Amino acid sequence: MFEDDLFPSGDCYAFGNVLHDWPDEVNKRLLEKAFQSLPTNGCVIILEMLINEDIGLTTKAAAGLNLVMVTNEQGRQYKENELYQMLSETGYVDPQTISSPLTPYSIVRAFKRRGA
Amino acid sequence: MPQDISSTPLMDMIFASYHHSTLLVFTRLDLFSFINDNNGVTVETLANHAKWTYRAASAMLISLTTSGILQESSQTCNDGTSSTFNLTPLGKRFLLPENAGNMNNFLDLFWEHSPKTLIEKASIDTVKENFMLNTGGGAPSEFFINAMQGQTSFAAQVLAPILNLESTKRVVDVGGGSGTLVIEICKNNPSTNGIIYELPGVVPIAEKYVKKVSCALPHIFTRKYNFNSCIDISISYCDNSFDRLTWLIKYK
Repeated sequence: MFEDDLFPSGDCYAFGNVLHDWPDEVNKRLLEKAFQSLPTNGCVIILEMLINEDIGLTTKAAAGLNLVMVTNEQGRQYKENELYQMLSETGYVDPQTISSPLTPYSIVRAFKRRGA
Repeated sequence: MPQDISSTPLMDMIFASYHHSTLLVFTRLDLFSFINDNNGVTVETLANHAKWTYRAASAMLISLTTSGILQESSQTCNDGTSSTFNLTPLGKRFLLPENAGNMNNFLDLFWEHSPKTLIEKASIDTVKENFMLNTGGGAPSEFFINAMQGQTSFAAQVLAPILNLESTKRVVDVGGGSGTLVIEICKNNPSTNGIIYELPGVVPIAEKYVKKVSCALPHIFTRKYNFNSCIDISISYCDNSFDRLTWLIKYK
């Protein structure tokens, strides 16, 4: 995913437990590559355990996985607004978060619209 | 010194690592299968099976009972009352087949973890290696991919149906590993095709998972995409019933 200039063609790019492996600068490049590869009205979906805006309400699973990133990878778990900010800076719009009480995971989705 | 602050939560946290260790031991020794196959265990049967002292077996059973993984029931025998420990619904998650959210491989990733590891990796002087890429000599190993599949598959099964991707034609699972996310998306959106976009070394592993969801035509189209590789998949429901699922794999 780093070596190819663009991703294979698609109208939705999914990053499942990928962004948390890498530093912010790398993730911005990945999201930019997805943006360039997307057609208008295409979307990106990011599956991650999120750190709550009120950190005290973060699930133990998300906080634990965040520690795993310290020992095992080069990234971190994100807050929703951090992902929204990164997406916005890349040109994505209309971000939304899809969650369920059955899993500590959430999906953040954002779109590439006309004029972007 | 405040008198109204309980020390229990603090103590719970201090001993959490022991409960975690017990969980790791039981998964590594496949003891949850042993418990299930024997319709529960007593301290004696576990100790004899694992070649542990009765004290150790008892302590570990108590640990997992307080963690909600096991539940205790008492039985009255001729020589007295004994406790039998069996799996709770939560504990049965450790028995799931690997395509349904089995966590055993994921847990085993943390066998070597210790406070020493944490403090070492937290240091600014430590070169940050990528554990994922080191497991397979430059690409994630099959063990790592299986671990991540178990950890992520339940979330994918829960969230894919509520994503509303009906109008999406093609989903590319970037660094998708086993493809668990795109597989669930394709299962829930019959008109959507999927691509698992991964390092060449991971593709054969992902193919195994895709083949498991096929029934009649296990055709998987694998192609090189510049440096990386892709698996093109298209999964359609023949029967939308969750009781009897029929899969078709088409290749593109």
